[in-house]
Amino acid sequence: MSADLQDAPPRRSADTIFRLAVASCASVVLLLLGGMLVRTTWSAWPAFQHSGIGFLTGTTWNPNTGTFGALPYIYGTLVTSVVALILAVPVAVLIALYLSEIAPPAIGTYLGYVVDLLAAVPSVVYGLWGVFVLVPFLTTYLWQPLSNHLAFIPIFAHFASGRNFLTAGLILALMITPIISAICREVFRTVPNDEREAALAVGATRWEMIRLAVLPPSRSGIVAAIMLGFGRAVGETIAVAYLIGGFPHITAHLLQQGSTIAANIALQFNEAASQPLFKAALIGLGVVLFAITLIINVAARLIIRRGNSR
Amino acid sequence: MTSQARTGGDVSKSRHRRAGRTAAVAGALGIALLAAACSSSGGSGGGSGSGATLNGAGSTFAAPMYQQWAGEYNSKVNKNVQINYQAIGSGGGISEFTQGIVDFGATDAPMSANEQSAAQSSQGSTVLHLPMILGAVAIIYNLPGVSKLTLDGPALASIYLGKITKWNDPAIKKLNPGVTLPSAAIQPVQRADSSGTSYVVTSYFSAISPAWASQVGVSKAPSWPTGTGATGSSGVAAAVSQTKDSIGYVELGYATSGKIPFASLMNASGKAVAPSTTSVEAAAAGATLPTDITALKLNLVNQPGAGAYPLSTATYILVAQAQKDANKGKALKAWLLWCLKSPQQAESTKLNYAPLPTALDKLVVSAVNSVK
Repeated sequence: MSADLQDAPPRRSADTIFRLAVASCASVVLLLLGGMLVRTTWSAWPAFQHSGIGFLTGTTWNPNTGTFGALPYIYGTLVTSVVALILAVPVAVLIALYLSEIAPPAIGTYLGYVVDLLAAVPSVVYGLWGVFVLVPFLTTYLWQPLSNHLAFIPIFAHFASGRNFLTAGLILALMITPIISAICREVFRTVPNDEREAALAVGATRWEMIRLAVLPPSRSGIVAAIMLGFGRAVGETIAVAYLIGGFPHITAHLLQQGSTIAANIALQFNEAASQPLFKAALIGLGVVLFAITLIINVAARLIIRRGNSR
Repeated sequence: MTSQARTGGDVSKSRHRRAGRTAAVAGALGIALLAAACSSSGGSGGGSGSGATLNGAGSTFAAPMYQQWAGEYNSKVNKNVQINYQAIGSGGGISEFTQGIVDFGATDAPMSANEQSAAQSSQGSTVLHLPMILGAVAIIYNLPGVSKLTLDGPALASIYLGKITKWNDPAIKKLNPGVTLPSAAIQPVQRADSSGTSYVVTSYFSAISPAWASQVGVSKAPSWPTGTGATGSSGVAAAVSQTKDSIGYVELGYATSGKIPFASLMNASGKAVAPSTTSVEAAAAGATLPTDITALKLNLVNQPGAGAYPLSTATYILVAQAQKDANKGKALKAWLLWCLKSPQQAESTKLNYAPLPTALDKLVVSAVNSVK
C-alpha cells in the first residue's frame, strides 16, 4: 500500500479517480438515452404492429375505432417548429449581435439579463397569456386582415380560427428567441478581441468586422443554438396544446387548426389509461418525436462538419 | 490575516451547524408532540373522530361542489378529516383512481366496461358509481346582437358534423322566428382533452342523430369531424367569448359566471327549455332509475317531460367497495353520507346544480353503506 503510494505520484491517482467519476457520469447519459429508446419502443410495439407503416403515413387518428395514423401530428409538429425558426432565428441572432458587439457594455449587460429572464418563463405562462391576450389580438389585427387581403397565398387562405398553426408557431418563436439569442451571445463572446481589432485595424466597418471576424468562427455555435431552439419547439407541449386548436389535419392553409405530437400526448393520455392499444399508440407518438429530434440533430452535425471542412 | 479569516469562517460554520442541529432536534420534538396529540385526540374521539386525509380527483364539471363540501365538512363536521379534490377532468379522474393515486375518482361519464374492469382489477374490489348531484351542459354562443337563441338536437349535431355551416341556415332560422341571424360561418368549439362534458354532448347527439351515432359515436374524447379544440371547460368558455360567431358547450356554472349567453334546446316533448336547476330536476323526474347498487349509472339525456332539459347529466364519485385502508374507508364513507343528506344536496342549487331525486338519493346511501 505505502509502496504504491510512494511509487505513484498522488496527483495521478486523483486523476484516475476523477476520470472514472466523470466518465461514469457521462455514461449515464448514454444509458438513459438508450434505455429510454428501447423501453418506449418496446411499450409502443403493439401499436406499431397494429398499424404497420400506416402509423407514420396514415392521416386518420381515431382511438375510438383503433385507427392510428400519426402523419397529421408529425406535420403539425414540423410546420409549427419551422414557422417558429423562420420567425425567431434572424431576430435572435441580431439581438445577440447587438448585445455582444454593438450595445454599450452597461446596456448590453442589463438587456442580457432580460433575455435570460425571458428564457426562464415557464411555457404554461406563455400558453395562458396566448389564450387570453395573444389569440384575440392576433385574430383581429393580423390573421383576419391577412386572410382578407392575401388570400391568394395558400398559407393565408381559408381562415378558420384564431387558434391555428401560425398562432402556435408565433408563440413558439417567442419562447425560443431568448434561448437562441442567449447561446449566440455567449458564442460571439468567445471570439478573441484580437480578431475584432485586427479587422478594425485594416479599415473594416463595424458590419464588415462582424461579417469577417465574428460570424465565421461562430457558425457551428449558431447552428447548435438553432438546434436547441428547434428541440424546444418540437417538444413544447402545454402552450401549443392551448393555442393550436387541437384538430389534427394536414393542410397548406396555416390559419386553420392543427395539432402536434407533444400536444396530443398531453391531451389524450388520460383517456388512454385503460386502453392498452391506445396507450401504446401514444407512446409510439413519443418514439416518433424522439426520432424526429434525432434526425434533425444528426443532420445539423453533418451540416456543421461540411461547413468546417470547406 | 488569512488565518484569522479562516478561523472566523470555521467558527461561523460550526455555529451554523450547531444551529441546524438544534433546529432539527426541535423539529423532531415538535413532530413527536403533534403525533402524540393526534393519536390522543383520535383515541378520545372514538371511531368517528379518527383523522384521515382523503385525496380525490376528476371532473371539472362538479369541482366547485366537491370543493365546497370538502371545506365545509372539515370546518363544521370533522376537523380531523381533510379532503383534497383536484379538478383534472373526468378522464384524468378515472385514470388516477385506476392507478391508485387517489382515494376516490370523480367523473361525469360512467366508466366503460374496459375502464371498469381495469379499475376493479387494480383496486382488487368492485368499483361503485355514486351519483352525487345533477347538472346541465349549456350550449354557449357568441353572436353579437342575438340575445335569445333556440336550437334543437338535430341542428346542433349537424353543426358539429360540419353539415350546417352558416348561422342563417334554414334549420336554425326555422327555430328562431323573428331573430336576425347573420350569414357568417359557424365556428364550433369543443374540448380537446378527455372530458365528461364531451361524453354528455356526444351521447345526446348519438341519441338523436343516426349520422352522428355511426360517424362519431359516444366518447369522452371523440374524433371531431370539425371545429376548434380548447382545453378544459374554462378554455372552451374563453374561446367562445373571444371568437365571434362561435358555439361551444360547458357546464352551466361556467356560462353564468362568465356571463356568456346560452341557448334553449328543444326537448323530446317539443318544448324549448333553458338549462336550470328546475329543468334538470324535470329531466331526472322522467328518467328510469337503476336498481342495482353496484351499477348506479343513469342516463338523463333527452328525457321526456315538458320541462325537461335535454342535456342533463348526473356526476359520479368512484369508490372501491372493499377499502384497503379501514381508517380512510371509514372517513370517506362518513363524508359521502354527509354529502347525500338533504341540507348538503339543497346547497347544490346555489351553484347551478340540482339535488338527486329522493328515490335515487336513498339508493346511493345504501350503496355507500355497502362500502366495507
